[in-house]
Amino acid sequence: MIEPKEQLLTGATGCVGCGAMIAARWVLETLDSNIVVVIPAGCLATVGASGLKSAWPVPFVHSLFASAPAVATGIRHALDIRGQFDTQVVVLAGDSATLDIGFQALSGMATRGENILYICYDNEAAMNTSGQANAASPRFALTPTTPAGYPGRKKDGPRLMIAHQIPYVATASISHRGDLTGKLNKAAGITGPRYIHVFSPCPTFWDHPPDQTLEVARLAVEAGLWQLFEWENGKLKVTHQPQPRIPLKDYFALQGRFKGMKEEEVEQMQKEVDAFWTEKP
Amino acid sequence: MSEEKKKLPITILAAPGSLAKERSADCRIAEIVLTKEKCTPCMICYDSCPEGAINLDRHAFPAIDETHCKGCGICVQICPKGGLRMVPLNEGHGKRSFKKLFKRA
Amino acid sequence: MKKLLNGNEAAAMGARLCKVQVIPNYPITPSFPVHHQLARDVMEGKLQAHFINMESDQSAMAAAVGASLCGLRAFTATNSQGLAYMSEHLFYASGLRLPIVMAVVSRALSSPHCRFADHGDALAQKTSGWMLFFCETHQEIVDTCIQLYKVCEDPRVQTPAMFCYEAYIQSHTFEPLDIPAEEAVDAYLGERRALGNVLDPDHPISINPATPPALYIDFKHQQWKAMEESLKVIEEVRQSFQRAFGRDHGGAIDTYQMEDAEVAIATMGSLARTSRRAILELREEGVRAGLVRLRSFRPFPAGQLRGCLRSAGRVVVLDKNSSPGAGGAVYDELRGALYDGNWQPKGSPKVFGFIAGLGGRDVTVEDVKRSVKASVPGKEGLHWMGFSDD
Repeated sequence: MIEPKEQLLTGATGCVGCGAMIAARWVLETLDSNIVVVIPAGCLATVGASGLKSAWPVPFVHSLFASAPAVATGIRHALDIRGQFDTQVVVLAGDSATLDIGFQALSGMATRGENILYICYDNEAAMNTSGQANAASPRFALTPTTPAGYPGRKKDGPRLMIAHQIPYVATASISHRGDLTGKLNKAAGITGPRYIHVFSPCPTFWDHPPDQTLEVARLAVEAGLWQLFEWENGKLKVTHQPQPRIPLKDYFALQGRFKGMKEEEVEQMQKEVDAFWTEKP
Repeated sequence: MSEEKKKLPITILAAPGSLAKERSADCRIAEIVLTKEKCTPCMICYDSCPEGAINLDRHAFPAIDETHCKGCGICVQICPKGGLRMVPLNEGHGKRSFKKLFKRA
Repeated sequence: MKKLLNGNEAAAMGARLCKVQVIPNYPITPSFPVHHQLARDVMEGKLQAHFINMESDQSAMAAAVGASLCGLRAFTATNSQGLAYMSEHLFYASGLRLPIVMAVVSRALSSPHCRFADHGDALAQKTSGWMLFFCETHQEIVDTCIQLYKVCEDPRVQTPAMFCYEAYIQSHTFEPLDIPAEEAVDAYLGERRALGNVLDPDHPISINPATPPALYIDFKHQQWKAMEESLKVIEEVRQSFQRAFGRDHGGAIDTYQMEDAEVAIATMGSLARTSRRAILELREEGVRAGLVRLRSFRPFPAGQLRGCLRSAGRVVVLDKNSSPGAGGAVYDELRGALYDGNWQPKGSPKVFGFIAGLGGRDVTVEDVKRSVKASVPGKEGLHWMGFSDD
């Protein structure tokens, strides 16, 4: 009988069909086991360990919400002082910790050039507290704190990290596993701050059937809403060209959180996505 | 105070893999059934399970781990051969949840 | 070796002598010179450490936690707004039982915005699970830093600690001090013993998972017992330090002329200095005054205070902090110690509390004497020094 490697996260208490668990599982499977994972408050920090029992097969620190990259910085320096240069320090953070409350620490980590691999699993809202809108939320999404639809725009985390001029920035999605694992492997071999932003749907609060988690992610990529790229040495390379680009409305239709969108709003979003893909990068 | 509590570590530390010994399938909403004739096997279901609840036998055919499968159906959706199917649970919490989660879209 | 140093330099010297290994820092007035000194020490090779310029005060404490989890000696310095901003991380560090030591250059908390001294910042963190020490002299600053690493890293304690000295009054003034030899501190302190690297991929464990009601209070109980136990360890360290370096600053408390005192002045930090002078003058005027200085506010040395104050008829508490809706921290907790269920309230001394010196307001020898003379029957209770509240 072959069991999944070290029963990765088996026993964790994520929701039925959780996209973040898939992302975390592939991160652990792809990276060497010689890692330390720091996870700030959020879904993954909560579902993987409880009381004196844990599902994490590697050293895992549940940090406070705002400071995972700062805790990771302390760990990185300490491991270097101890001569453990090969032990990778990985932050696995949700979108709230990455783009809202913890952006200060992420930016500091990047500015100082810390040798840390930062992975954001993005489910586009504050899911561990029941799905409130945050900086990663998409326009028009219905959430408990934006019951009339999110009025803002999704904050572009990856491009903010490009502005920090760090060695490696990439976007990924759980729908495109080979693309994600390729980027993880590449990032693992680079020294310095590295940032990978993984699109990870949440059936519970995106309000789609739990078996559609990977399909929803695929639609986001194939509709051109979530671009898969990597950026290093000042050059951006798109790693997946959606061809053809499917209509955005197919993506929206699968999720209850977009059911408040008016037809003209769907059209507006479609125009914006079209413009994005026809502009020169 | 129980003996287990008296031997607490100095701070909150948890042993890895120990959660896997717990049953996490209490919220299961459906059973997943394999039609072996359709399976190639390609192992995509094994790779895609968020719970790590699919084991592979020595020929790489999937075997569902009943103590950890929550019945999300991602394996069913992703199987390129349609070799897996969901059987909604017939009663209680599982039945109610299945209806609630799958009635949309 | 004797050197003329200011309080901040003394704190940096203490950290350097303790061979701290990771110094995550964030600047705030007036503790930032501690970091400047340590940055130079590291650059000049006088200290082998990673000096990390963090992006905020809370990140500085977060990084200290990370380094301490890996078994290294971490140190930082802050005060007032920075300490308050770090508050969440203080509870995190103490619950994780990490022996981090921090210098706090006690400064008033905004609002109003004030960069001068009082103890409000440290005392606002009195439930954080950190040990709180208050230094009277610059010599004590260096020595306390060394003593605290020894106490904190003791397996019976494993609790973080802050040592406090006052903004400008102590941080920027100069005193001659005796710098212990590096070898003597190495021999005394040695390498960190408690809680080695818990982040070992060969022996992975998960740290700080979600904890249910069935367990949380048990961990808090453990932590609380360790703080209680630390009183014993503080006393042991007082004696071993005396043997190793020939100096005694007191243990959890320090007393002066209490043998025959009819009125005791109870206070912390620089007010103790002023009180000693006031006591000399009061005695010349026929008032048998004495000093009980709390070196340690956490753990609160209730038993030792009762022992000391047993024969004094009056206690005059000088608090450089206030808690709106209650009193000053020393006033409130000292009265609590005197009223312990096992002690007869009938025989306990009368207590007069004075809130004084907030925001760096000068407290003179005359002010202290006046307060002692104002501690007459009928005037028990809390007053604000320099305010007419009758």
